[in-house]
Amino acid sequence: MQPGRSQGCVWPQVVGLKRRHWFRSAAFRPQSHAGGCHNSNPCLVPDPPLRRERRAPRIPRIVSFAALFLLAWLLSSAVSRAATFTATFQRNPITMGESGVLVLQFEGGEPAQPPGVPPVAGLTVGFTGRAQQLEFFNGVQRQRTAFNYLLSPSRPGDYQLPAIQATVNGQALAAQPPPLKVLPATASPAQDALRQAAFVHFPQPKREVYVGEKFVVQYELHSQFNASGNAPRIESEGFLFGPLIEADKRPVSVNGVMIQRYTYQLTAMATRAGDLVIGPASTKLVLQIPTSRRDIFGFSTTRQQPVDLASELHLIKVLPLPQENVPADFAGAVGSFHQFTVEAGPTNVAVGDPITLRVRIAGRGALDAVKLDAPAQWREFKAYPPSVTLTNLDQLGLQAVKTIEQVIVPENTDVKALPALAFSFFDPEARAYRTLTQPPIPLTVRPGAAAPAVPTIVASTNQNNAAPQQQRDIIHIKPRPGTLAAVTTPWMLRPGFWLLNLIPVVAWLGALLWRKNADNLANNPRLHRRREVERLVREGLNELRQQAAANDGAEFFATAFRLLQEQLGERLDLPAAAITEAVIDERLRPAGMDDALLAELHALFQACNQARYAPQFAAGELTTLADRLESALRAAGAWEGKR
Amino acid sequence: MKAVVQRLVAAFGPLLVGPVALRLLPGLTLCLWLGVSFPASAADVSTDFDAANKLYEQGKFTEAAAAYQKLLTENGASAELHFNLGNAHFKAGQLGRAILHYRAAERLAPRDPDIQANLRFARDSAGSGAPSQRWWSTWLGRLSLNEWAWLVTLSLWAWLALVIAGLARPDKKPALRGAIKAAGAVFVALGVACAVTVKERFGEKPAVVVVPEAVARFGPLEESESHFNLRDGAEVVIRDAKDGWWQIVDAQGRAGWVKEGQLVIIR
Repeated sequence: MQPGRSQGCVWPQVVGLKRRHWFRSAAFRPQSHAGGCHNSNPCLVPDPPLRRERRAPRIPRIVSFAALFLLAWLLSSAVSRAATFTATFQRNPITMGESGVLVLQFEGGEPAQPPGVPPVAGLTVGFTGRAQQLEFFNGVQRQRTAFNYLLSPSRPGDYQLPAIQATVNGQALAAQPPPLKVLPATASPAQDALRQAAFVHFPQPKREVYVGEKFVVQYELHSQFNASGNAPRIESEGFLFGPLIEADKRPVSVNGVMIQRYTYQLTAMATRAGDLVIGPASTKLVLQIPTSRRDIFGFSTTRQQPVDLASELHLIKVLPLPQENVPADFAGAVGSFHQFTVEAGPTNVAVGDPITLRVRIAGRGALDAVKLDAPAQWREFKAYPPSVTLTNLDQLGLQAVKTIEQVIVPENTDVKALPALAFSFFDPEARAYRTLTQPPIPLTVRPGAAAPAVPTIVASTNQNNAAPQQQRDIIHIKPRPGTLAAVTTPWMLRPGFWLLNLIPVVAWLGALLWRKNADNLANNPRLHRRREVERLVREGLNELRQQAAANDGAEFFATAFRLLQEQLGERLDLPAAAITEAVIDERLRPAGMDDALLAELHALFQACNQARYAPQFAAGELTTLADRLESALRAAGAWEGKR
Repeated sequence: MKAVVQRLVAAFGPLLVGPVALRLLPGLTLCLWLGVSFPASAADVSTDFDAANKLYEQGKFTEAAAAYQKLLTENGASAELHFNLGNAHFKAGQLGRAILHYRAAERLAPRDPDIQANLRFARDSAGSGAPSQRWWSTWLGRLSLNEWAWLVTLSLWAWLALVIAGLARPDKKPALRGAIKAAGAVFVALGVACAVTVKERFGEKPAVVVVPEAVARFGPLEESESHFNLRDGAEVVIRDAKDGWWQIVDAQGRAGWVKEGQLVIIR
């Protein structure tokens, strides 16, 4: 601090501040100083520490918050945009004989190809599929992609997979799966239950099946405690599953611990060939786990523990049906069918009388898709749609009997027997096609005496879909093709349609304009008179020409006089009959008409008057007068004088 | 402004309803009616049609279907042709294609009881019921799109003819007022019905599954998990398309992605 200029006062001189920035501050206080300081000129002494204060522009608070929020969002987006890669097992440990599922999960991006899993001795790895999940969290979309691999160990032990590499959006990522523990096969599911409160055990079903072959899938739900929830469900791509049944429910004892075991069964059928993964069977349960606490009545209490359970996955080899030695009538039936019987009755009929054909097929396999097409192709019979019943002989629907009843009608007396029927199927047990046949059934067909009573196929005529009569077949084809239209564009999309509908609109607009015009004329008599006079003058001049040519002076001057009266009367808004030569001086001259035109009009009027008394005309005089009259009338018609 | 309108009226009014326009009008109208109402080509295809029918009667349903399809491609469509083609596909066991052609036939002849009966039968055979419809859709569907167009055109002409008559004869206008209002209301109602029909026809893309089994997945990828299966003949509505996949909604409201070749759009 250096002494200021005023004597006796210590002027503050803040280092770095110019004098013009000096201002009073709370940091300063006046100090009375002997001999020099006055109220009018207070001496200010800064209180230490001295603060440098600047007048800075104020940023609105809301803008600051918005900037902070934007920055935070950008950062979070940047973080979220960075891809992540993790490798985990669905179940760990697993038991020998089971397969483990390695899940490689990507977030924020995914590789173009499924990552390769490095080989590990004793472990067979197979890629099973890819799943994708989209999430929205705090306005940010997150995409997770999971690549699943099935790992089948050849021996118990610990398997350590090396780090798995992947490239995502040009970024090299790596994930280290945890060690996979494979327990010996002697480790029973029951022992697992001691470690886990509940689990689902899915033993390996058939390892090889054929496409279309029905087989039984069974899995068990074990629970140490009471549980509530749904039975485990199984869904796998490439398989169709039948209804689920609870085949068994019993407590089992494992090392003195009672465990409830539920056994579920259902049928499965592969729809395509290849190595397919079946499973897992999964469910969500709520376990009622006893606690050590007791309620007020002394009963033990339980706590609810929700659990997600999933069983093992298994690989099944689905074989395609052999392409060799396929019977001609094979329609896709796969199974083991031991019964194929055919009955028909009555066998002594007239032409046109119905015969009921009854076919029974029984066995193990997919009978629901089995059809009997042969009768529809018998040329001498008319076949009606069959009625089919399927009776399951077991809960799973694996063993069943299919009964097909069909009405056929012989159409002529040449029919001697029902043709032989055959049913071909593929037997997966024998791995071969088999055909069951029935011999022809002899018939006696008499000539028909009356019109055959054939079932009527009636089409519903009620647009309201009232219950139609029982229709047993489609209605027969139409005999005529109708009018074929090459252009199938609906009319309303064609330009012609819109043009067609534009015509009445244009006509309406024209009529509207015409109506307006007519109304204008009706409301404007002067305009109406003007147009009328124009027409009269136009027609009158034509008459004049004709009269001049005919040298008909009397008519000529009468017409000329009339035209002058009409034109001048219209211009002066006076009745035509009131127009005489005097009007020229009385009305037209004061209204400012041109002198030359006035003189011409005078001359024309005088010519008309003179013609009354001295009707003598030279050759061509009338024509000349007609020209003069026309000019004068046009000039008068164009004249817009003062009214 | 009024003077300008008056001059326009004086200049163009007579032209629109004058002698020239009146002479031209009938010819122009006739040309447009012909152009709109008659098909571009009405081929005589009886021989080919009979040959296809013969194949059908012989039980050669696949060959008959091919013959009908050839007629359809080369000569155009009719309700009868679609109906017979649907029958041939039905007999050949192709329920999806049968339903496809029955629905195409229904669009051309919505009141034909044979078509409705066979469509119902095919749907029952496929195990799929008719897609759910709003009550007005059923009512509006009783007429084809062209029939609606006809009705709208006729009502417009009738209404404007009455209006023009009222303009031409103002003394008769009070007597015509009721008829003009009624005709206008009819035109508006028919126009709205026609617009709704057009919106329903072109707003949605109905399609039919034509393969024995189509798998609907959660996403448009082979690797996506399967969601549900659709059998041959299942009727769906297409909502979106991507990379050879269509997003569909089935009769139960379930949405999924199906490969293009497994469906055919009903046109």
